Amino acid sequence: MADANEDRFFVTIRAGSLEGLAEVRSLGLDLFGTTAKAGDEVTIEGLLTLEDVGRVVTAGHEVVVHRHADTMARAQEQSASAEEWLAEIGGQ
Amino acid sequence: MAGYLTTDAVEGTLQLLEAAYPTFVTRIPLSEASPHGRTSHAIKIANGSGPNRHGVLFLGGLHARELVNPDLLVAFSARLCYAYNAGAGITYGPTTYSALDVKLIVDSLDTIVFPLVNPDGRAYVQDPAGDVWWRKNRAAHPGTACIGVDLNRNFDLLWSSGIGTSADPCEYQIYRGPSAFSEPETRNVRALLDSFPNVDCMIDVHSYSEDFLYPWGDDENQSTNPAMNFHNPAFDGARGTPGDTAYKEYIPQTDWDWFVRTAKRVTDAITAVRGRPYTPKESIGLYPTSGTSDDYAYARHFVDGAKRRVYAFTLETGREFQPVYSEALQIIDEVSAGLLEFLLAAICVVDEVARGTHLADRLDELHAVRATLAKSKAGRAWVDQLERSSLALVRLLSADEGLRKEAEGILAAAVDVVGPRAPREGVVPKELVERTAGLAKKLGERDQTLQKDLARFERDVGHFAGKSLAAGLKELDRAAPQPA
Repeated sequence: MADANEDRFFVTIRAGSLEGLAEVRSLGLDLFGTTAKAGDEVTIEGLLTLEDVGRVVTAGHEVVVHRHADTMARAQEQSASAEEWLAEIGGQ
Repeated sequence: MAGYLTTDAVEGTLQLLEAAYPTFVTRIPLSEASPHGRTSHAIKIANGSGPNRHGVLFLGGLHARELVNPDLLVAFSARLCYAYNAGAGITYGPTTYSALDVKLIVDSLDTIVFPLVNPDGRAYVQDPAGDVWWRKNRAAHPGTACIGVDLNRNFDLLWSSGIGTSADPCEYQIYRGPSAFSEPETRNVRALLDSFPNVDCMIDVHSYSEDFLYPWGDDENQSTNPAMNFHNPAFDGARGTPGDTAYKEYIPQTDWDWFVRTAKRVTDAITAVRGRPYTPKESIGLYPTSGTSDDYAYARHFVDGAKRRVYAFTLETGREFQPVYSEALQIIDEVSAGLLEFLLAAICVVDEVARGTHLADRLDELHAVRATLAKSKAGRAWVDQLERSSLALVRLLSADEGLRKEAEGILAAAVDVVGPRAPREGVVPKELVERTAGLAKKLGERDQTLQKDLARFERDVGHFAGKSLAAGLKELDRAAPQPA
């Protein structure tokens, strides 16, 4: 189970083939299903800890690390109130 | 600059919209509180009522970390309400929807918006002491320290198959729950579908990947073998492998065509705003799933024929879960154009002509005629054409009361002679054929984009003079080349 305090990274996994993708899926990772693509290569994006990255690499797949998850988190960008938000969004 | 709405603020905006526009916005309390005791509301945007209105349902916020979508649905609702109230149009980027389009939507459709299905999850994501990448709800599982169910794996569609789900309560993302509809949040969605049986179109808004997905999610589509379907136990264990030949999920060709056509229309509208390339495709892609909201909503009709068929999609917005808010506002604009286009696609010209007239009581007969037409090749082509041209025809007829009256008169006369309550083998009078051809000609003269199709219709309808509907369709099947 992922720990909210653990470092996590947005990554792309190069799974090599559809069979490789199925193998990656079986590792119980936080993968984003709709990003799975089969063009020149079979890839899928996900949010992985360093330990997860190690498991994927050990299984024979390549991992491209994009960004530390903290740099992509904007949940604290919050609106002050419903009234202000509606006024700004142009709904009232 | 605004920021993401908090859970309480989402609820607050719905309350404000109802207060500001009481004549056409109604808050709908959902019957079940969340695991942490939060009550949720949807809103219905509709001026008018009645059993014949089409309903469209928008869902958002099932997955907690996908922050933009509840804001998107509230902003979309707010702008629709504001424009309707002001008698104005809505502009997204280079695209403007007219005041007439806005009026058509609010006057003829029940638009139901449930922007935040998973309020506990969002509160946890926005809590500095929580987990910003949390996806599930916040249900406790007795006997474990683990929390949460993936709500979009908890609907009753192949739930027990395990396709794309986990049975482990400690699985971080895709735990499907102890049973289908084990969670109050998914039961609230089911309750909305049950309470509004007129809903026949739905979009569940998620993030991310800039895709617009239509059924099925468990396996690839096929339309040749109706027996190969999700509720046939003979195929249990065979589903869920993309690219194989052992199983493909049945979808009627007419539905598949509608999904493809409408998905393209919606993604084109989104892309027109700032060029982002949204892609329409089957849900399964390379990643089969089960227990999802869109497949469940679409499947209800196949399980219980008394339920209306719900054309259900999943929209995956943006390129990340939590874009900076200035980017979130851009996503809200572009996707709102798609949602508006989706609502316009749900408007039927026949229903619109009938609305507010004596024909409203005979819509079931008119729909039966459409079903009869759809059984023949030529008739199916007419129905497809009518669906493709529906919005343009509604716009023309709404702008000219004389033409609308003429259309109403033709429909009334037609249902009298070929409807299900007409005398057996009723014959279509030559006079009715001439009136219909005459209206088609006038409409074609007013809208160049319709001219070619209406000219063909004008020619084809002549085959029915002095014949029964069945005989006319047979002759047309023989005589007329089918439209592409």
